[in-house]
Amino acid sequence: MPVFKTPFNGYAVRFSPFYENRILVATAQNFGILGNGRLHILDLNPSGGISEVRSFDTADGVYDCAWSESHDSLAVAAVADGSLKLWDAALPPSANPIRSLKEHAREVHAVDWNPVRRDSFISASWDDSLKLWTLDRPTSIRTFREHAYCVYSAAWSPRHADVFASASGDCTARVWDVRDPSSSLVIPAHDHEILSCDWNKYDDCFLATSSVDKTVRVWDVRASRAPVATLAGHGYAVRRIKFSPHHENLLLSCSYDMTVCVWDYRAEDALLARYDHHTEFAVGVDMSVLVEGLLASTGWDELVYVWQHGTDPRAMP
Amino acid sequence: MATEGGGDENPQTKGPELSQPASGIARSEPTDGSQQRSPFITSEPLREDQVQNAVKFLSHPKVRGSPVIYRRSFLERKGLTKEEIDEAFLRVPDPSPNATTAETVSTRQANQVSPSTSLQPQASVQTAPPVASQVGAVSLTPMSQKPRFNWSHALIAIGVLSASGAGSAVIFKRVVLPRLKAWIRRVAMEDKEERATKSLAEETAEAAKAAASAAAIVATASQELLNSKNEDRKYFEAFMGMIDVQVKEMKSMSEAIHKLEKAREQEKLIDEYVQYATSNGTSNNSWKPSQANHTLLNQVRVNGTSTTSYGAEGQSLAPAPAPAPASVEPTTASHPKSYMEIMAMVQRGEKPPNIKEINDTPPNPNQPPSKPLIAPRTKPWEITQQISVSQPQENGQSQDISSEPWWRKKSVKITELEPEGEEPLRQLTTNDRPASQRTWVPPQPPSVAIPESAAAIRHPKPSPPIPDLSSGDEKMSKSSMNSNVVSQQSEIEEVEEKDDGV
Repeated sequence: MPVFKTPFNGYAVRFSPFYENRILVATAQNFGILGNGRLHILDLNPSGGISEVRSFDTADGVYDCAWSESHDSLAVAAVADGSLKLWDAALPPSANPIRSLKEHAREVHAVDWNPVRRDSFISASWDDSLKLWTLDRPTSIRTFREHAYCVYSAAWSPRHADVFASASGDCTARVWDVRDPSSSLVIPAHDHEILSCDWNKYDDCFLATSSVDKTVRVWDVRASRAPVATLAGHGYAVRRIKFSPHHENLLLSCSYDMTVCVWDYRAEDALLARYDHHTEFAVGVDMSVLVEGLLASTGWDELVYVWQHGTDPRAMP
Repeated sequence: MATEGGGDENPQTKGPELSQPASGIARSEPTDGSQQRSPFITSEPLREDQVQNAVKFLSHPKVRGSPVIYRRSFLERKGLTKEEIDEAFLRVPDPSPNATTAETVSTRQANQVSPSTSLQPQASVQTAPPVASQVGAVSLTPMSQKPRFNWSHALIAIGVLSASGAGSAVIFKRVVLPRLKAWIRRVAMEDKEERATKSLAEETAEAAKAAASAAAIVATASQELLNSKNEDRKYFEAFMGMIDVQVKEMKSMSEAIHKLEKAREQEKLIDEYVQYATSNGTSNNSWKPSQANHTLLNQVRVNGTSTTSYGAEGQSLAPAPAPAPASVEPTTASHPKSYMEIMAMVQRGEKPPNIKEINDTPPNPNQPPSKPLIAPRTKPWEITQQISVSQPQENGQSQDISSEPWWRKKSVKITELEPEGEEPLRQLTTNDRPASQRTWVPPQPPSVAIPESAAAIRHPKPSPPIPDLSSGDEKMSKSSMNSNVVSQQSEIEEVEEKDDGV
């Protein structure tokens, strides 16, 4: 499977919801500590390689990225200087970026585009708040400030247009409704910082969280006292999780133990596959919505892998 | 005395039913009341029947054995007068005073014999009541015949008795107990000797064993000490070696830093030269070293543009100033720096050398986004009654749909999966091959037992799939129901579609 070498350390990867062979990669220089950032738009060549279509430089590292659900060429990046930047790949470089939304006081760690309404996106920042934005407004619509520590991740519910979840370093995950002033549910999901959260695409009551305590927990938001499942198997903090868009029980996770794991959280033996192709922290994963079983991952070893579930990421097609 | 007077008077006035309070003990103590009896003697005739009764009473052998004092008191209690009692005593075959003396003698003898013959240490206790009875008897004898009580007699009796008791006790202690003890000791000593003889031998053997084991332990301990010393020495040497290595590394790092500083200075000079030399050769990528707001060094990223499509002009600047090692490809320049080194640099306040000045502000903040070329596609998990996406690929990128691109092909070979993962993989593979009618045939789903029920569960069948719209098939095959039903459904649909397709 082809691999792409980025000049900077990888932080996030996203499949395009419009083009099945297009991915977006967020990278940051010097492991994201201090340095520039770059956003790559890559295409998977039918002949077997990955080539770059566009790339956009930023003054500070890019920690997360998301494709727009309404425009096929629009992408948003969460930048470490606290701003969100939007790029339009269809426009010439002189016109890019088309927006720079700077309101957060600290680094923006995550961004997610609303897949139901398709016009708004949420940003999660280390200044303990989340902000809701739309494309047509230069300022945020709402700010959600309830967490006590950095918010590491935000994820829109795949079914409910106004519901999203957030994961924070204060060891809680919260479910919000945009229409309500405060969070709808607080789940003290772990005893350590929670790094990522994602919704089950098929059962809208299930939310998964991953934490520094090396586990992934799946919660039923209707009965959130105890997790439905706890998936242990990573050797270090689990950095990002993604529920499969095609299978109700499948879950993808990447961790600082340099592996990417596929889980079935309803199975007795939950770990289905483990891919250890990275040689540094595996920081970003995604599952393609258009192509079933297509996985992508990136890490601090500056490599982006795209492969089919069940195959070796490092093998050449 | 007075009691006796009272006792004499009472039988006169009251009947013999009254019990006389006078007891034998009271009787034994009167000193000279015997002479005072004379004025209290009554002049009444003796009652013969009483006397006879008393004789019969006194003739009883048991009564004979009892002290006289008790007999007298008993009779008095029965209402007999003094004369009647005396008459009865006289009539009894053994005269009362003699009887009493004989009794006293016999009692004395018995008392004397008992201490000498009894072997038990309680003889002293037993001597006490006989002493008391003897005293009573002794005192009674002078009272019956001549009512005189001599303290000297009592004292003599007490002395004799105590001496006998003491003597018996002494004899017992001196003779009997030692004999007993000696006998017991003999028996015990026999056992002890046997045991002693045995235990001596055992003890010696055990001591020898303990000594041997202790010696062995000492030997092992000394060996361990030696070994640990050797190990310590080895560790120490290894440690010294590592320190040497680190010292060398630090030396090399300091040398590298020196070199880098020199390179920086050189590049700075070259920068200025290049700026003045070229006119408008700068590309539109943000490169404004002179306008930097940062106070940090501006290191030119000589080759940061090889991957950007519009940075080709930047490369023209690259080849000229390339004497220093830092002007190599940025990928390799930033490569050796590890995470910890960067952190250390940042904490020291230094900026890592490969950071560029980038202006990423939007040139037109109100720039409208370009029109989308494709309508949004429905997600696999959304309930779709119709396919909203008609043409998936209208982008500018070359896309080959008719031939399966590599990212759609799934190789069945499972190299890294665990055995449990084969099941869902099979499901994955079957779901992904709907109507493509490829050579690879998905396995028959095992759960199609009742096709009618399966058909009843299913949604109304959507429009027949377009062959090259492979992604649309996935949406058709999926529904919002449980994954089990979904997978079954998809498999069923595959079967049906295959039938339809064929």
